[in-house]
Formats: sequence, C-alpha cells, structure tokens
Amino acid sequence: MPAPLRHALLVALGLVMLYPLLWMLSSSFKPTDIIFRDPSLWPGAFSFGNYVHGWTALGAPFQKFLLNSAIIAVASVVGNLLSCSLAAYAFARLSFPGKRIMFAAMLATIMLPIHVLIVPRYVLFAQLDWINTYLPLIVPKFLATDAFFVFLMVQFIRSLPTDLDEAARIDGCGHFRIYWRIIMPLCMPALATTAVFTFIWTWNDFFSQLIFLTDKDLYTVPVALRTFLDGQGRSSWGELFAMSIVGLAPIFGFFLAGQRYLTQGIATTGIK
Amino acid sequence: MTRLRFSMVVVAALAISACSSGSSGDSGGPVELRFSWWGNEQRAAATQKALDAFQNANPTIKVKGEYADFNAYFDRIATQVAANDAPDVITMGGVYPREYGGRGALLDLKEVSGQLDLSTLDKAAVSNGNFDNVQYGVPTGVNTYGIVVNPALFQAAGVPLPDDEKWSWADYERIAGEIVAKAPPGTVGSEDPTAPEGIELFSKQLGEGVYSPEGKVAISAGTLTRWFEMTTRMRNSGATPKATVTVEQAALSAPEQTLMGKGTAAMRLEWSNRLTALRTASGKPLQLLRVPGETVNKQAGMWLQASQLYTVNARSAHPQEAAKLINFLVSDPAAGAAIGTDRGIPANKKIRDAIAGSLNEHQKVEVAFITKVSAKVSPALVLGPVGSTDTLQILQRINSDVLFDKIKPADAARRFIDEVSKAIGG
Repeated sequence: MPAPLRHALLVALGLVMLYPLLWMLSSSFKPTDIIFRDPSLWPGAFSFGNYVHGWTALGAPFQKFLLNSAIIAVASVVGNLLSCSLAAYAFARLSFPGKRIMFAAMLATIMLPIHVLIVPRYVLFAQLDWINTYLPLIVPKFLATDAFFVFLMVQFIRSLPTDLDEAARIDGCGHFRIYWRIIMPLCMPALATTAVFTFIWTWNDFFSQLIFLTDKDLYTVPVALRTFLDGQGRSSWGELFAMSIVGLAPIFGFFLAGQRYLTQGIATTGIK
Repeated sequence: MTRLRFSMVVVAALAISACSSGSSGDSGGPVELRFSWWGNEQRAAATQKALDAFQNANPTIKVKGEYADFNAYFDRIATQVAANDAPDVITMGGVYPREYGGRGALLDLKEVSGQLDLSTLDKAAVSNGNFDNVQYGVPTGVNTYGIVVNPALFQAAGVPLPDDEKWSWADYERIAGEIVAKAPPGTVGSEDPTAPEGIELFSKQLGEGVYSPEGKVAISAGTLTRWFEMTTRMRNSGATPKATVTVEQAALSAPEQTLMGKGTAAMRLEWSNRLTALRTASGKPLQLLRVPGETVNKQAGMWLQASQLYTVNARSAHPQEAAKLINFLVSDPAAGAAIGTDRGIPANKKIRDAIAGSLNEHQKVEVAFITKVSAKVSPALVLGPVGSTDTLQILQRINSDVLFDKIKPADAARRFIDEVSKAIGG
C-alpha cells in the first residue's frame, strides 16, 4: 500500500478511536440541556460556563481534588520505583531458598481481581485506623505489591550481562551498591515505563479511592467527578465533561513526556 | 499464599470480636455518628443543613456524612458491611433493604423504638421497610405509580380528560384510541403500559398482585393473558406506538427521551416523582391521575412506595443516637425544610403541610396527588423477594415477543410465570 494512502487510512481510523474523546471535549462547551439533543461535534456557541461553574460546583475548588490526586499519584510513583526495583533485583540476581515458589506466588497475585482483595484489605486498614487517610493507597506501593512492575523489571534486569555485576564486585561493591550504581542506571527504560504506568493507573483508579476515602476533603479527581451524577435526572453533564477534560490534562502531559521511554521500555523488557 | 490468607482470617476474626465488644454504647458522652446516602452535591448541601440543625439540637452528637453516586455507593456499602465498618445510619432503597436485612446487617428498629416515632408516618410507606415481620427501615418519603396525562393533546383531539374516580381499563383503551383518531398525526394515545408496576396494579385490583407474601408468584395466567390481549389490541389500533418504538423506548431511561417527555404521547404510566422531569422536558402542564380500574374492580391497586429508607447498622455502637437522628430527619420541621422533596414527598403529613409553601408548581402538583391518593391506596405492598430484580428484564423480553407477534398472549402469560418463578426460586 502506498504511504499516503496508508497514512490517510491510519488518520481515519485514529479519528474513529478519538471520537468519544472529541465528543466529550465538544460537549464540555455546550449547556447541559442540549448535550444529548444536539449530536454535532462542533458546538454552536462556545461557552466556558461549564468550566467556570464546574470548578467550584462541588463545594470545594477543583484544584483541591487535583492536588489530592497528585499527592497519591506522585507518592505511588516514588514507592513503586524504589520497592519494585529492589524486589526485582533480588529475584533477578540473588539466589535464596524458596525463590522460585515466591516468584510464582508473586505472579499469582497479579491474577487476583480487586474484588477478592478489597474486603481483607479494608479489614486490615480499618484495624490500623488508616481509613480516610492516604496511607492505604500509598504504603502498599512502598512494599512492592504491584507485582506487574516487579515482573517487568525482573525481565529487564535478566537481560543485563552479569559481567557488569562481577566487575563491580571485584571492585568491592556490595549488593546494595551494585543495585544502586550499576543496575538502576541501566534500568532507565523499565523505570520510565513503571513511572508512567503507575502514574496513569493511580490517577485513573476509582474503586480503591472510593472505598478508602469517605471524607470529601480527601476526594481525588475520579471520586469527585462522580458526585456530578445523580440518579434522578439532575446530573450536571456539562460540568462533569468540563472537569473530566481538566482531570485528563495531567495524564495527557505525563504520557507525552514519557511516551518515548514507554515504548522503549516495553520493547526491551520482552513484554509485548 | 496460605499464610497470607490465614493471617487475613485472623485479622477478620479480630475485627468481629473487637466490634461486638464495643456495642454497649450509650454512655452519654460525646458520640460521633456516621450517616451515608447516595446522591449528588445538591443533595449533600441540603442534607448538611438538616445535619447542622440536628447537631444544634443535640450538642453531644456529631454526625459525619458519607456519600457517593448510586452505584458507587452500594459498592462501598457492600465492602464496609463485609468488613464490619459500616456507617451507623445507612440509606437503602429498592431491593437492598431486604437483601441486607435478611443477612442480619440491619438493626430491628423495635430495639430503638424509644427514640423513633413511626406513628406520624403514612402506614403504607412504613410497611415498605417491614418484611418478615421486622421493621428494618424508615421511609424518607413516598412515591406512587400513577398515570401521567398531557392535557394539551387531549384538547387538540377534543377528548375530555377522564374522571379518574370512575374510569376502567376499557375506558383507558377506548380513550387512547379516540385520541389517535382525532389528534394531529404523530400523536399516540398512550405509551405501551407494560411494566412490572403496571401488571402489579392491574392484578392487585383483581385481588392477586405479582408476588404473594410467602415470596411466590401470585399473578394468574388468566390475568396476564387479559393484559397482553389489551396491549395487543391497542398496538393494532395504533393507540399505542409500533412495536419497534416501544422496544426502543424500553432501553432508554432519561425522562427527556420518553414519548411523554417529547410531548407526543397523551398518557404514560409512570412514577409520580418523575413528573417534574417530564414537565420540564415536554414544557407542557402534565397532570397525574389515578390509574384506570381503581374504583370499578375488586380493590384499589395503587400503592405508596418509600422512595428511600433510613436503616440502622446492626453493629452500630450507638443505635439509640442513630435512631434519634432518623427520627429528626423524618419528623423535625427544620430537617423537613432543609430536605424538602429531595428524598420523595415526605411521608409525615405534618412535614408535608409545613413545606407546602416553598414548593415549585411541579412539586405542588405531585404533593397534591400523593395527598389525594394516600387515603385510597391499597393497604400494603408485597415487596418482591430476592431474585425479583430480574422481573423487569423477563417482562421486557416477553413483551417484545408479544408486540412483534412472535407469541400469543396466553403463551406469554405462562412463560412469564415460569421464568419469574425460576428467578425467585419459588
């Protein structure tokens, strides 16, 4: 297929995929009562009313929810980067009794759906008196509980030549220094993938944030957005869409910045 | 893995013992209550006003509200109840109270009757929170299922509005036909009336009802056959829309998308609390009437239904204070003024009268209708047993087969009884 034709086809397909997003963008400029009556993508008149009102409609300015989400997302990124890489180093480079079984158990945790885990987790955190704090959402990230990222980094570290470790050991490095000085710098693509995915997944996470946070002052963007909805036909759709666009901006930026590392990381870790 | 699971079990067991030992409560010192509901920011603001009034009247009790939208709310409640950390006062609705009450998660309100006066509330609405002879919930307000009419279309067709103290289902069928014959093209006499609530009304008037108190199917095949014969005749004469339109409508839920909301149907069976939305959508002064057959059959079929129920967590450490809060919310004028009709038309006549002045014109029509029918409704509603949430889908599926002439009314009746019996395990 000639290149121009292929490009045209890809652009057309891309637009189809983008349609829901474009529809939301256009609806965010329309008054709520015409959103479902007027299906056109180009709003007749641009109005920023939804943004202005939506920003303050939830009883607290929207930047509060953005900040809450940012605290959890950034802390999760730091936690996952440190803890998952440490765990991965151990699985990839150390030999210890029970390693295979523990590795299998770690992988098995990926397969447990959140619905199975949520009640025991809730009981545990309620006993620690952590409900209505960010601790249930952040502390586990510092304990390498995201097995997916551990696995990703194990795969990556295994592909690095062990000659480097051995050279470092001859120069007198212990395990921690090998991990920090040799392995971590070489792991950049995998770390970037972990950072980008952790950020996006945490930013978009609705369920666990809903369950562990019941105080409105602690609400994050996804939980706050749901309070625009109402079962009795008084949903503020326009404001919901406007604030969704606002909430999307940070992940969009994060993805743009990390996109290059992301594809590199995925291509080099054997996860395709 | 096994060790992890084991430790979880231990933690869970600890949690249960810790909670059960702390339930003596009622020491007179400052108490913090948790109160949960579903809804949006407007409801939260109104509720907060009522809670502020409660805290002013009871300085030793502090109430913390927790809310989320409907679906998210019940996900959260399920987790909290399972983990033994549910709020003290829990708002319930639909089939949920029976489900949670049956599992022992809700308090028998007899235990807190000293704080809770149910005698001021409509009896029929209170009975909605009572099953297996235990009172689990207090109604926040009431709705009823009636018939919404568009007087403008009646006028355009030159058909007088029916007298809802006298009319029968035969009149309903005849009037719908007359409207179609005389009104401008594009108008239908009525939307298709087939819905679980519709057949409940129809069969209740004949002394049946869809479910029996023992949790079995009570409606007879003969009654259902008559219903489907009526809807088939109406579709044939054009009094109700074509099958394709009815089936498409069944999949939509927004009031703006119904034929009544678009202003092209003269009659629609509907919940009274949707009147405001339908009036706003159509821009017409829609009215509520009693359904056909209320006075000419064996008994009245309409009932009052609690729009929501306040319940108390069975493991609450402060059940007395929780009951006090509920009592305040449903019978204190300050709470009534703050909440208005947000949770349904108040079931307490005193509150209903007190807020009458502050209602908008749509709400006034709704309140007047509820007041008019309260004295005439059938005594108690038999709540559907566990599994009865499937009835809606079963009925819609069968109705579409009837309207597309795939099965005869008598076969549809038998299939409905078979399938619903299976769904409710009876």
